[in-house]
Amino acid sequence: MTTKGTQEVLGSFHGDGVFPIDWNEGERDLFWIFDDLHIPNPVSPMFFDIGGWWLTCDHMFRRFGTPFASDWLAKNVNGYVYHAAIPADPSLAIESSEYQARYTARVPRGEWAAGIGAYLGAVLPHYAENFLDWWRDRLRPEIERNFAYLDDALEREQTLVELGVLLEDAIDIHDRHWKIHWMLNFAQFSATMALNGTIAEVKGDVDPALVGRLQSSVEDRNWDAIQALWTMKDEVRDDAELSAAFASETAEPVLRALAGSDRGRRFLTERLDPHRKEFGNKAIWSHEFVYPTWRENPAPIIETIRAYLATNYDYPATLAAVTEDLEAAKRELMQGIPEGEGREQLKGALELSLRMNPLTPDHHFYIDQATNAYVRLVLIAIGRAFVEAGTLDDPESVFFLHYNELRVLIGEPQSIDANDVAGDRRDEREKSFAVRPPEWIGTATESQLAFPYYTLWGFPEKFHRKPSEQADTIQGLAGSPGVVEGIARLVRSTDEFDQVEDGEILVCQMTNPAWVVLFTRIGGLVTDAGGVASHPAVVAREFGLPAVVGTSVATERIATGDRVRVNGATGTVDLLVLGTDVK
Amino acid sequence: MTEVVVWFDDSPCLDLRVSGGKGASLAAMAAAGLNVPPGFVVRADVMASLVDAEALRACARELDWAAAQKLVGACRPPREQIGLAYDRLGGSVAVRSSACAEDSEEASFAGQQETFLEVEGAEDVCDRVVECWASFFSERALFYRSQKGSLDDLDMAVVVQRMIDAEKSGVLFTVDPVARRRDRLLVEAVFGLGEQVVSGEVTPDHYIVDRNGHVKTERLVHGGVLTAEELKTLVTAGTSLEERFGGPQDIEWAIVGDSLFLLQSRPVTTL
Repeated sequence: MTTKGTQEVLGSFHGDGVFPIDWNEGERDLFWIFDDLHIPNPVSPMFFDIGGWWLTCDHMFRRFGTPFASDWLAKNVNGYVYHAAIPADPSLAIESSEYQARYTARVPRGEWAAGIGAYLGAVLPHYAENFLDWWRDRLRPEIERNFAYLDDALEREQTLVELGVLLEDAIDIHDRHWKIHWMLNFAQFSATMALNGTIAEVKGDVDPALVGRLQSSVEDRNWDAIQALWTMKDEVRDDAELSAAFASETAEPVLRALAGSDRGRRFLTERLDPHRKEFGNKAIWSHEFVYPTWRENPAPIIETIRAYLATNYDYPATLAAVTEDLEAAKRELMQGIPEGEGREQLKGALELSLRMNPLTPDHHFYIDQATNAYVRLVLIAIGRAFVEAGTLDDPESVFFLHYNELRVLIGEPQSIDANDVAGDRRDEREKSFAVRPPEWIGTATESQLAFPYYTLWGFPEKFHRKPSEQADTIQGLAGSPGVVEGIARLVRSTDEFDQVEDGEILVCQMTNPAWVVLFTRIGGLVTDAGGVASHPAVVAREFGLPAVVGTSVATERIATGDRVRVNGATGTVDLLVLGTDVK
Repeated sequence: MTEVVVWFDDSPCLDLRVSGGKGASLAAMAAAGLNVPPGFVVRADVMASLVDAEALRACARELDWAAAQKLVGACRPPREQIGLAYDRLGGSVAVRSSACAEDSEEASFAGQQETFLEVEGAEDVCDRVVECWASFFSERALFYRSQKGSLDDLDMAVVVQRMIDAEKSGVLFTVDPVARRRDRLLVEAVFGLGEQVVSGEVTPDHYIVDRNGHVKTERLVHGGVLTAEELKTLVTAGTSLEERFGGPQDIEWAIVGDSLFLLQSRPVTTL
C-alpha cells in the first residue's frame, strides 16, 4: 500500500449547495459509498449511534490480519449513511464517531501490514474447514442463549434503570453477534474462493450462472419459516371458520375476525403467536430500528398466509424443485471430469462449499435481522417507559434520541425536552426523503475503488457509469409512505381494470370503492385528486402501498408505459423514462 | 313494531347493534358532553322488519343486487315515527347510513355507504332513509361483504342529523397516519362544507401540528383557513376524544362562528 499522496485522483465530490458535507480530519481523502444496500432510507440517530454493521469491522480486520484494510467507518451525511474501508496504511490519521464519541480509525503502527497477508492466507482455510462445527456446537447456541436472556428480560416488568442496563446488555450482544457475523463471512468467503479456484484449475471456465446455482440452500431457518407459514395456510384453507376470517382485504380485519371466535383465538395462540416469537424478529429493513418487527405487528405474516391461500402455495413442491436444481448443478459441474486427484479435489471443495450454503440465510436470520430486532425491542420498551413517565408522547420517538441523550434521560427524566428534540429530528428525517443522495462522496483513487468488498455495492462499475438524466418531477401530496419504482398504467375507468398488470403504478384521476380490487395487484398509486384523508390515500395506507395524491396533473403528464418513481413520503413522482423512449 | 328511532342522547343509541358505527360514535360524543349537532338514528333492525328478510338474504347471497335493491326500495318506511322525529329537529338535515358490522367504520372504505346532505321535509327524509337502506345492497357493497363473509347481515341504521351551516370544516387525525407518528396531529381544512375534503373534490389546507397545537409544517391552498387559536381548540378536542375512546381518532369537524362542532369520530387502525 502506498501512501495517499502518490495515488492518482480519479474523481472527487466534497459537497455542494444541494448536498453539503462537513468533513472531519482525514475524511475528505477517502472514498465513501452510499450504503443503499443496507440503509437506503434516511437513518435514525439511534441506529447510527449503536446499530451499525461497521462498528465491529476493526475487530474483523484485526482478527484476520487483512493486509488490504484495517478499519471501516461510517459517516452520516444529510441523514444518509456513507461508509469507507480504511486502507492498512500507517500514514493515515482519520477521525470519526462511534457510539457518539470521537473514534480514530485503526491503522497499523509500523510496517507489519505489508507482511501480514501470509497469516491471512494460512488461517483462512482453517476457518473454512472448521467454522460449521463452531457454528453448530458453540456460536449458534451462544446466540440462542443471548436471545433467550433478552426474551426473558423483555417479558418482565422493568424499571427505567433496569431497562437502561438491559440496553447495554443488548449492545454487548449486538457487538458479539456482529463479530461472529464477520468470522462467518470470512469462513464462507474462503470456502467459495476455494471452490472457484478448484473449478478454474480442474475444469476451466464455467458459466457464472452454474456457480450461482451451486449456492442454493435447502435446509435453513428461512425454509423453516416458509414451512411454518405453509402449514398455517393449509390449516386455514381446510377450516371454514378460519377461511371466512381470512376473507378480508387487509390484515387488520382478519386479525379482528380471528379474535372474535374460539377457533380463531386458538389459531392466534397456538399458531400465530409462536410463529411471531420464533420467526418474527425481523422488519422490512433489517439495518434500522424504526420499522416495527413482525413480532410486534403480525400484519405481514397474515398477508403472506393470504398470498399463499390465493395461489395455494405448495411448499414441498417448491423445495423439491430447488433441491433438484441443486443436484442437477452438481452433476453438471462434475460432468466430464475424469477420475483422479483433480476430481477428488473438486468433490471436496464442492462438498465443503455446499455445507456452508445454509450459513447465508441463517446468518441473516440470527444476526442481520434478529440481533437488530432485539435491540429495537429493548429500545421500544424504554420508549414506552418514557411515555409512561411523560418524557415522550410517542414510544417510537426513542429512535430519534441520540444514545447518550437516552442515557441522560434515564438518569434525569426531565433534563431534556425530549419531545421537541426527537420530534424535530423526525421532521428532519421526513424532509431527508426529498434529498437524492449521491452514490459516492469524497475522493476516488484506483486503490480505494479496488477494495474487494465494494463489488457488493456495484463498485467500481458504478463509479465509471454515466449519471442518469435529471428526472422530471410532479409534486403532489404524501398519501402513503414508501418509495417504489415501476411502469405506469393510466386507468380512466373501470372498463380498463383488466389491463392492469402486477406491480404496475396505477395513475388515475381518483379512486372509489370499486377500484379496491386493483390494490392487491399494483405496486403504487398516483392520483390527480384527493387529500390525505381521501379514499386513495386511506386505502393505500391500509394496503401498505406508496401513494402520491392530489397532483392535479398526473393523468396529463404520465402515460402508460412510462417508468416512474413514486415517493409516498415526500409526495413526489419522478418521471424516469418515457414509454415512447423505450420503443 | 316497537321503537323506530333513538336520539343521540338516549342511552340505547350507544349500542353499536342499535345505531351502527356512525350513530354509536355520535352518541358517545354526545354523552361525553361534546358539541355534536343534534340528531336521531333510525334503528338498525327497522329495515329488516319491513321486508321479507329471508328473500332479501337470498338475493344478497346470490349477489343479485338489482333484486335486493328492488325489494328494499319497495318497502314502506314508518313515515309517521320518522316524520315526528324530524319535526323535532326541523330544517335542513344530513341523512347517512350507519352500518353495524364491526369493521364497517374502521375499514375506512370511505364512500362505501350513502350520505345525503341538506335534506328538507319529512317526506324527503323518509325517501333518503330508504335510499340509504338500498345502498347497503349496491353491487359494490355486496362485493365487499361477500369478501368478508357477512352477506347475511341485514342490520343497517340510518343517522339523521341537523345540518351545520359550516364556515370552515375538515378532518383531524389525532396522529399523523402518513408518517405514522403519535407525536403529531394532522388537520385538513376548507371553507364551507367538509364533505369536499373527504370526497377529494377540493384540495384542503394541510397542517401538521404537535400535541401542544404548534404548527410544524403547513401547505396552504386557501391562504390559511384556520387561525392558530382554532388549531389549538381542535387539538384539545382531538386529544380528549383520543383519551375517551382509548386510541387515535379520525374526526370530522365544522366551525360556525366561535363554536367547534364534532360531526364524527372513528378509530385510526392503520398506524
